[in-house]
Amino acid sequence: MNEYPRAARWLHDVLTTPPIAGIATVGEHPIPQGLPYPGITYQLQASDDVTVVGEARVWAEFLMVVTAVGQTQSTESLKDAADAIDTRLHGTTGDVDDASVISSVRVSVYHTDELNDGVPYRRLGGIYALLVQPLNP
Amino acid sequence: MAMSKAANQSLYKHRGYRPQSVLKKPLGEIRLKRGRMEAQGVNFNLFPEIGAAFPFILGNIVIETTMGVAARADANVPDKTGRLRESQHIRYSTARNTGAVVTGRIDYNPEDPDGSKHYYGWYVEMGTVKTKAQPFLLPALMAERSEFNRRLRDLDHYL
Repeated sequence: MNEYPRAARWLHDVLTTPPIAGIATVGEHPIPQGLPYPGITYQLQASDDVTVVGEARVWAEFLMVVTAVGQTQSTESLKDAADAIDTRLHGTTGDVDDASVISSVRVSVYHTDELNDGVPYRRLGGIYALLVQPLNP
Repeated sequence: MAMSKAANQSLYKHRGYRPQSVLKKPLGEIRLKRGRMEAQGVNFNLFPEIGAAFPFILGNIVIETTMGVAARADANVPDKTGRLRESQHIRYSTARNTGAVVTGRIDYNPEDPDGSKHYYGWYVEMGTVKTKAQPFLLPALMAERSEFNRRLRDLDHYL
């Protein structure tokens, strides 16, 4: 089993059900051109498999950067969305399809500011460590 | 597992310190004196020596782990012009009282011939609002993590 699509699907479901107020787009980073801001994006930063004797895989660990992204000069305007991300992801678990997210923990806050073609952007969120394993390992 | 020669030299070349193997120190002497065996200075308590060596042993582990992360990141870094890969710079910080290494740091800041620095390594690693991330440092860190745990687990091999 490849656990990454399950992890991405779980993230999308958790961040869209119910919808977060003020957020127009949720999906993999970056937000496609033409879609409205502010949005929430997630990206895979690193992954690692935990295996035991006999190469049996216990779980797959993913470091995901999940951030609220806005066309704004104010990080404060993304505060509510970032808080909602953290409430829904930190310390939570859940099942998705044939896999289970057994742990989701924020390992650090993430924040950047950019100027792209003269337009200011802000990203505010966190780096989350997800542990995913098959439902019936 | 013995420390790599490069790691040893990079750490201690400025200080001339060569860590003595604690477990190879003689416990004492056994002499034949006047027809009988006599033990002198037998010492089974090596905890003071182990305690004194501990910061440097941990420092060796930090150095080996940093070099391991750097080697893995070097293999992962996206290579268009080669400037980002060539800009890898490793440095260590040491404890003021012992001189033992406590942290290792890896930077990627490409420099122009005129000395001006570019800090786009972060944006390659994490992406921008318009471009996808091309991670090379965090995957290296995660991959080295099990080796770091093994070095700590086998710490007695450094004694």
